[in-house]
Parts: sequence; structure tokens; C-alpha cells
Amino acid sequence: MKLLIVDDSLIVRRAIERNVAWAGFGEIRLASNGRRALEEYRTFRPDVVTMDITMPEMDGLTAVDAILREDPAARILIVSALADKSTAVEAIKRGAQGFLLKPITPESLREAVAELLEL
Amino acid sequence: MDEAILRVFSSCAAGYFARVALGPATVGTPYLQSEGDSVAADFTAVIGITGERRGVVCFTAPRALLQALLPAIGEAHGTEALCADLAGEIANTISGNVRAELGSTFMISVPVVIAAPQPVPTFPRDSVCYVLPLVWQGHRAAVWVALQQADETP
Repeated sequence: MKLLIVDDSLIVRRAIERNVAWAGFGEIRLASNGRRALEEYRTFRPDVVTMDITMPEMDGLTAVDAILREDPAARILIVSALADKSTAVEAIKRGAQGFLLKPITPESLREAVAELLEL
Repeated sequence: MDEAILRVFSSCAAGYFARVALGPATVGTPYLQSEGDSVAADFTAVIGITGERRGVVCFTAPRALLQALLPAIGEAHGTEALCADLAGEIANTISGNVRAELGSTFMISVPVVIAAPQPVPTFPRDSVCYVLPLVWQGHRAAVWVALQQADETP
């Protein structure tokens, strides 16, 4: 299984990478904005994507749209600090499979990823 | 800016440390930042606010606080880059979390992090900035909130 982690914060990317070791992803790649995520997605074809929303160049919701246009089966978990209900609803409406609110903890991430992988 | 908004920021700032850090932070009573008040610490992350309200939200913290907090999130070394990144992520998280109360019309930018000795930009003369002082494990930091209604005439 392959994972693509998208966040403009280096420490968040690294925290997610560290805390999904239990899930046994064979390969993990990192992207710092939506545009890079889309580029990575095309070549890497990950099984799961974690996606921040507020990022430079291309925001996460735009990236979700773009990825799902190319691969309607993409599995995307939004990981964002935007705590209003309408943002979470909008993300799910656009096709993301889950929404995890920041700040994340190892436990909250584990639960969200497990749910996405149906473990 | 009403007191209720400051309470939301205070709660979100305390909530960040309660969830992430090894021990809670104490957020003190907000006060007005006076002109020339030099309270910027080593790292200051600035978030631009647009939508129904406009202005800025900042998180300013000394290097020592950020270096002490990094191990709590799994980082062994407190490099300058990681300290700056963490300051930005804290500002982003607090500003994003307040949308639970203020709604999606509280639109936030990506953070811009300023490291001392670079000067922190001064707020416009017509804006009022509140300081929410914060203490975590003996380290002092602050959240600055300077907001106006978008249709408000100064």
C-alpha cells in the first residue's frame, strides 16, 4: 500500500508519517501543496491520501476535485484545522472519505486511517 | 471586537496545548496592545483574516517554548526551521479551530512566519489589537488578535 501525505507544514507531514507506521504502508511520499499533490498522484497512484486544506499554490479542496476527476476511486482523508461543520460537509460532498480535525494526535490519526482502510 | 470572540481564541489556544503538549497552558486575561509595546518573541506567525471579519491573528513564542514543545510531537531536534514551522502550525490551528464558533466566513491565510531579529509588521493605526498572554511550562507566548468587521468604518 502507498500513502501520499499533503500538508504545507513539515512537522505535520513528519508527524503523520511517523504515526501511520502501524498501517504498513510500503511507500510514503510527501507533498507541500495541492499542486504538488496532484503531480505526485499522477505518477505515484497512492492507495490513500491525507490532505490539508489551507495551503499555498493550490488548496486542498481544489486538489481533491482535481484528483477525483482523474481517479474517482481515490481515497482521501482531509486533515485540517478548519473546524466549522460546513467545511467538513463540503469536503465529504466533494468526495473525500474522511475528515480529521487538527491538532492531530497519534490516536485520532490512527482511528481515522483505520476507518478509511476499513481495518 | 467583542469579548465572546476573545474567549473563543482563548479556548482554542488552550485547547491546542491541552491536546498536543505535555501539560496544559494557562491563557491569561486579554489586554489591549499599546503602541510601541514590544512583545514579539523569537518567532511570530501571522495569519491574514478575510471574509466577514478582516485583520490578522498572530502567535508569537520564544525559541525555548517551541524547542520544548517539539519533542511532544515527536521531533527530537529543535532546529530553526522546525521552530518556525511549529509557530506557523500553531497559528494556523488556532485560527482554523475558531471557525467552529465563527463559521466559514472567517477565512484564514497560510501563515507567514517572522523570525527575530526581523521586525514584525506594525498593525494599521485604525486597528485594535488584543493580546492573549499564554504560559506553558514556564515559557511565555501570546496570541494577538486584531480584527474588524469587514464593513466596519474605522
